[in-house]
Amino acid sequence: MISIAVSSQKGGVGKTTASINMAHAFARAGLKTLLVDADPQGSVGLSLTRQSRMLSGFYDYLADPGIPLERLLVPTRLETFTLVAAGQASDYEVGGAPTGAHLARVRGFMRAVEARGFDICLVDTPAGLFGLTADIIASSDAVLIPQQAEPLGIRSVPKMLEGLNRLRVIHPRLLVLGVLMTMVQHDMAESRESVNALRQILPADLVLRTMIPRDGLFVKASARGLPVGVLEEGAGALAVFDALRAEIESKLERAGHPSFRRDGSA
Amino acid sequence: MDPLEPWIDASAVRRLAESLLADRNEPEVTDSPDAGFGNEFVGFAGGAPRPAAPPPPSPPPSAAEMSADQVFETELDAPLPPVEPPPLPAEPLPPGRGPLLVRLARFRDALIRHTGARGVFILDREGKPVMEDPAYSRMHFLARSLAQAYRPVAGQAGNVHVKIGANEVLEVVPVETPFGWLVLGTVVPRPLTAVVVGEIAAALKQAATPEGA
Repeated sequence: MISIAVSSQKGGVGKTTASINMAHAFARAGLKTLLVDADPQGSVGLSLTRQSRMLSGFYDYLADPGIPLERLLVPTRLETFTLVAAGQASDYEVGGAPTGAHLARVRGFMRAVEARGFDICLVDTPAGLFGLTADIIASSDAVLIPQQAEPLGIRSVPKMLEGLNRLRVIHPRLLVLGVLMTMVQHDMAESRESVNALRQILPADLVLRTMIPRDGLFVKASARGLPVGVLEEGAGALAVFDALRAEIESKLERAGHPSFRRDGSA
Repeated sequence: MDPLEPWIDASAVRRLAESLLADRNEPEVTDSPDAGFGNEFVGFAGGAPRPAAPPPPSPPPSAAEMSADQVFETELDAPLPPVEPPPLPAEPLPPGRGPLLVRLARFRDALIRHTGARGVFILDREGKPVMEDPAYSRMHFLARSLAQAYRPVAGQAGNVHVKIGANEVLEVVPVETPFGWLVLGTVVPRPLTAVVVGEIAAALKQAATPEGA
């Protein structure tokens, strides 16, 4: 199994949208995919299930050692796509726990997910690279960093890099998949320039070729509780996230991740 | 127009980015499913976690029947026995206490005497060494990272520790002193108790305080 934390230094960068649609793309490709909502705002659950606030979830698992993983799993209409909501205890420890406080518990969660037979586990983490988010990243095989394509977002890049370097000290094997440019507006000069500037400043391997455009379809999809690729007019978005999936798979294969198999035989 | 130009040190950012892509020549952890600290990790002592929220009053709806899947708790949750508080008074320093480094050297010697520390180094808030220990220079970055991650409780000394070897624990104690924030890193055989950490923090603060201050 491969576990990927989807994390960002700054909030509001499209992390949840990227997580949901990327997980959908992996699941469509046949991989047994688990999407975990570790964001205390519970946006994954709110986007995909109307009952998310009634479900036990990731934070309940952290708070109560007696909850088995099985109770948290929420199946979807796509057989290979399963969710874990943030849960009812999602106010627990919000912003309060120091890095390391939940490390053992998060690792226990990852082991349980792997034992359950998932091929890939995507975790939508709270914004920031400290506290619980750092514990999740330190328990994951790889990290993907969505970054909004606008000047203010780009200015947070140095802090993000510092944070990741700190985490690599405690998790040297962490694979940094790279920065995923989100909310890209090709018709806006500042957005285009932000993308170009980031590509100039960072090594090519650290900025994904695939970019997520700003698109009203994401709002529509969220309103209907669906990944955008499920919408009738979502073929374009589907293609974008398929390209993102392929790029991530290629990176994982190049990195020689031992437990990732494209055919789902992990 | 380059929106990054006035805000970002491009060469520093590039260095940081390239270090993320560099292969770390760390030993492969093949005997453990864990990434990160490994099974030797004994947790962080800094900041008591908030009490857990109570579990839901009734079992919430589950999508599937409960399986036999059990929580895989390991020895990770079994902390090592803490060191009994050894006597570590903030030693009264003689008059004419000398320059900072001399005072810090005295502090280091006292720390080694009282705790059996195998290594002691002190960093400033930027992570630059104020007093080095060449045997543990590789620990500087880790100590600084842990210190940054630690959120002190107002008015209390705190520490963060991580096991780095069979009988070695790196204790990191951030201390606010008149010299500024200092980060003490010390390699000890076992985790220190809160009482000892408090004494160490007070002693370091005293050592860093200029004469007459």
